[in-house]
Amino acid sequence: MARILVVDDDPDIRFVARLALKRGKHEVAVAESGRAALQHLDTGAACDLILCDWMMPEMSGIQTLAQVRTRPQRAGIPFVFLTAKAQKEEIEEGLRLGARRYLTKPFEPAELLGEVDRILGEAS
Amino acid sequence: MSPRLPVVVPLPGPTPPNGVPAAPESLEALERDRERLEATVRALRGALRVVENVSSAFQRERILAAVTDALTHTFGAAAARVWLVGRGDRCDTCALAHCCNNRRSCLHLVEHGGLGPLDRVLLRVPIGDFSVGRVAAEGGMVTSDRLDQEPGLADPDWARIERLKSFAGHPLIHEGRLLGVVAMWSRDRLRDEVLEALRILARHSATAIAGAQLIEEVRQEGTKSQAATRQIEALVQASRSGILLVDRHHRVAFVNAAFRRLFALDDRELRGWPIAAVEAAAKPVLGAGSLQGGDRELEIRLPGDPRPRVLRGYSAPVAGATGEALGWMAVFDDVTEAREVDRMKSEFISTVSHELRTPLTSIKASMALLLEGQGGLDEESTELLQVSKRNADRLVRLVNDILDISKIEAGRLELDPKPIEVPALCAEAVAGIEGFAKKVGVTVRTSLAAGLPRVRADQDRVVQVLINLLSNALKFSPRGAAVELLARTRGSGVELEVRDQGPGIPREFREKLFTRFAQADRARREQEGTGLGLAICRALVLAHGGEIRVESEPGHGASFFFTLPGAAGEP
Repeated sequence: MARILVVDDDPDIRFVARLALKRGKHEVAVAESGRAALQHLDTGAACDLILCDWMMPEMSGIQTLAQVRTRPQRAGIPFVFLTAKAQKEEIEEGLRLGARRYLTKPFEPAELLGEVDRILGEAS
Repeated sequence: MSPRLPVVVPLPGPTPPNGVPAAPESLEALERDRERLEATVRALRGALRVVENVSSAFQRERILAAVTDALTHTFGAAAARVWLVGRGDRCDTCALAHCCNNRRSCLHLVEHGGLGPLDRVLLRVPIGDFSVGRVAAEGGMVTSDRLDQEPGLADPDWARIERLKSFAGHPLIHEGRLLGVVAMWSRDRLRDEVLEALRILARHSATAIAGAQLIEEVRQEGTKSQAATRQIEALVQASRSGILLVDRHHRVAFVNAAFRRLFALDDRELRGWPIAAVEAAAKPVLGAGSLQGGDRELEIRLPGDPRPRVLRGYSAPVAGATGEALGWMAVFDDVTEAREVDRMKSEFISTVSHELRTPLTSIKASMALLLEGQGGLDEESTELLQVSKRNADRLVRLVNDILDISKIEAGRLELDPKPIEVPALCAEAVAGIEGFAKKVGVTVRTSLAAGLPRVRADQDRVVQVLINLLSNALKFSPRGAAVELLARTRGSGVELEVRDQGPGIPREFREKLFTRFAQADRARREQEGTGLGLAICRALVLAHGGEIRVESEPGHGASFFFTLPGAAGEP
């Protein structure tokens, strides 16, 4: 069981992602924006993996990633993009900026769960 | 119908025929004859001088006037006339066209001296008709000394009233070509020296007329080509494309208004400028670009316009009729707006497809979660969910394909070609299609020739092509059949083939198979295709420098072939 933070401005995506991960016996926190995600992390809540959208108003996924990296306690948390931006160059850019994985929407719940478990396995 | 005039007496040559004048009876008579002959020779020389002088002026009318003047004033002709053959069929422009039944070539009266009136018949004589027409038809001199006894004269009344006794006509022939006829009428018998003078005049004036006609033709050609040049120049001036023509001495031969406008050279007369000077003058606009070059895009900055503009330009050598180099030309089009529209279009498509993916994600994931959940769904609900999920999947594929095709069409398809092993490529594609193959109950057999060279390709994109072809093959295969993936060496590269045992493709459909939204049978839409797959495959193969084609015998399956270039010599 791991603690996963899902960051997405779309409430339905947050809902299905949470449900899928919960089926995998994970504990899921959700944030509707990059800012909310940082606030959540700043409360000191435990977090083993961040699943983050790319295109969000105000603060993009990339900006969120950069902000997370500035927090020494949180910099090591695996950061995974879960985004509809599925072009090759976008994927490459996301990985270059330090994301552990780049998952594209739409996702199959089972596949998402599989990827998440794999990443957590690598991390431990 | 024209009456024929058979009674004419052709003279065979310069030697006097029978019935020459009787020998002079006295020294005085001899002396008179000598003086007469000398006068004739002087007159003939004078006339020839005129003909030759005038021929150097290349004016047909003046040559002909000199001929008829010589005949009437010096050689005692009561009337002298010249007809010329029209080049080709001049019936359309003939003044007598309305009353003419004769569609043969005609002789047209162009010059006359001495007696009038000029009646209509004589204005135009069909070759072969009347004395004049016979001269032309026979190609030799025709004479008659008894006009009053000719039964078929064109105008016997005229001859009678004017008391005309004799006629002589000589063809005007230059280098074997009939130009016309010169003819004279006299109230006296025509003496031999007169006939000889006519012969000489005819020969010289034929040469002079041919020369004058040639000059006239050249002049007309010149006028015509000048007019054509002016028309083309007007078209080129009006063109919205900037056009530059440079001669073989690297100087500007021509520029149009659009060219000046594009490079902010409005107030300059550029004709004759060295091309380097034009480039220097255009430097503030053109930057480091060059006016000469293959098909390319240039960025220019017009003064007072903050936005750069995009020009599409190309230049090409200009060769003359025999292939000799005349210089080069360049054409420039302002494609700024077109590029902007392209950019907006692909940005729009990209945004739309991203926007579509988000709701599709929620739909697909929700249905998957429902199906995978432990909730007691009855059979019908499960089926309905499966239908919804299958169609959501199809929508996702459609969105992906539309994004791909819009990228391809916008020319933004970027390949990352590397040397790759064909067996690895095929294995990845087969692994990607395995699930679907199992589902439809069709086996995929791979058969690769030994010693395949490596290919130079973008692995992901080629796998995409293979998966697309394989999934098509699977879709159209009956359950229990096999789909084959084959690879063989082709030149320095590789040819891949996907072969199925499906129903095949009708001949008439094969051509448009690789176009967008082309599906042979609309009823087969349930086969889950997006209608874009083969168009994408084709674009991807072409982008690799390969070719794609299909072979099919209806009822005996189909084979899709595509080639990939080899990666010889690369690490």
